[in-house]
Amino acid sequence: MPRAVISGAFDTAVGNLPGSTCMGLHLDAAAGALTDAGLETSDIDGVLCAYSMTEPHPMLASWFCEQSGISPNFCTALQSGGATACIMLMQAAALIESGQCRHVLLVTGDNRLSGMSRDGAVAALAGFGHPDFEVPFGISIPAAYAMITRAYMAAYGTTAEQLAAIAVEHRRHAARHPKAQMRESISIEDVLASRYIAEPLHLLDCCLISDGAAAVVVSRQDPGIRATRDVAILGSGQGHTHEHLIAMPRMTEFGCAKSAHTAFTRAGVTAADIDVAEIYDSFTITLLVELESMGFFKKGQAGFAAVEGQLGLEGSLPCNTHGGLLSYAHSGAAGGMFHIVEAVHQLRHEADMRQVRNARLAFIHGDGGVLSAHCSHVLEGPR
Amino acid sequence: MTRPMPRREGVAAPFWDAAERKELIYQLCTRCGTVQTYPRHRCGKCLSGDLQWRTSEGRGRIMTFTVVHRSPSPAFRTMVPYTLGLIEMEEGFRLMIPILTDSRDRVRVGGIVRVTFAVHEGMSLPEARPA
Repeated sequence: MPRAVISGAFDTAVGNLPGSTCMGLHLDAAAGALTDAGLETSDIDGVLCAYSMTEPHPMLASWFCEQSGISPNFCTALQSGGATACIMLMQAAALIESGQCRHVLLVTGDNRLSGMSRDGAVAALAGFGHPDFEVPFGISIPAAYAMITRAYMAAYGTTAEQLAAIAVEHRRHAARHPKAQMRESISIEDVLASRYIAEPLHLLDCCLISDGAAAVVVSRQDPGIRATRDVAILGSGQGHTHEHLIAMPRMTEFGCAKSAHTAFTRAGVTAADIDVAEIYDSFTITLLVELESMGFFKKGQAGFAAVEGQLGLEGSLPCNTHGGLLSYAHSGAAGGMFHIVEAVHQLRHEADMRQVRNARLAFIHGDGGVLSAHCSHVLEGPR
Repeated sequence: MTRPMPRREGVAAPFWDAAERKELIYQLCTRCGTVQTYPRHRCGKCLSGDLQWRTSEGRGRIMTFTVVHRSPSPAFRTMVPYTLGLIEMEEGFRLMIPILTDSRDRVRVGGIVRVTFAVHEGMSLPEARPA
């Protein structure tokens, strides 16, 4: 079976990019990823895109191909909320391994900050709620995660201070990344003093809204040749349990347990083997429950680990070394793709000030909806 | 901007019609016995179309809750802060509805609530109060 590797990765500038457009950002990211991979548009025979909130389009991938002069053998757009980027990567690997494509280009991006008002972005995201049994009663994405937070606190004793420590560590990571949207240091007190969005989540427990785009090229590894910059996809998995919070089977167990277990099993490694993790962090609670569900920490322990600095660059599990959605950037489906780009940079040892020493195995994870859709990968750097 | 309201037509129409009568109803699958978390076209477990409406006693338990400060859309701006709860009813279905109380101390995970109805924008909607 052909083996799939990540041969190129690139993300654009992020943050507030006045005048940027969804498609312009897509093209910038694609051009960067192709350059990084040393490929031309004519080499690409598979294209996967995601979705846009500023320029919704029923055939985003076809529109992208029209604009980039690519005429692929396989082309479609995928939608699984925050899990989309990781699911695109899993789909691309399947296209390579089944012999249908040689080089698959994955492109995500949106001008979600400059292209829509903050109210517009918040209102659009409320569309994740059930139109009859959630939205009329005032649900929002932060409110949904706040409810998970409250249930999780009641079950495992997680505290607001522990969650704040996660936000603080992400900001510390972002300060080492020259492109990060938020680099000014914050303290636990700052997080707790920031206004409530939905109790017990404060403003600084919540991810950013950003412009930006990211693209990745997944290629067939030539037999016997491992290019010096190629990152291998060792194992992948998914887990899906519900869409709406009202239908979530349990408030403290999530599909990420299954997706991570599948990815670890297929890769033949365990959580303890991972050198660096880039895990979806739409809210501080998102990362905490994922870390505890996926086996990196026992239930109730990730908060203590965050306070001890275990998620920092010198910790036992350096996590979201670019600053994550909390401090690097979050622009729709590209938010999850930033995690993948960062993992590639770490595994190639191109992460400069934020490089995790001797990083060889990375774990990446995306979560869509309200911990509804999950996809995990274990990646291995060039030997 | 008007508040988004539930659709009166479709699979949940009997639920909202019952709400007009201050009656809380839920769906039961007569094939596998599953109580639907919210009304659907078919059973969410076995896909049977043999669903029956039953009447709830109106008592439930707070699975979790939040106090919303940042309104999800301008329509809710005059309502914040409000307490929104996910309620598991004794019969096994769920509601995501406001919890109304004068005392915040009475709103806690595991707390028992009673569901009543109030009219908003011309529609009778369920809401919870600590029992």
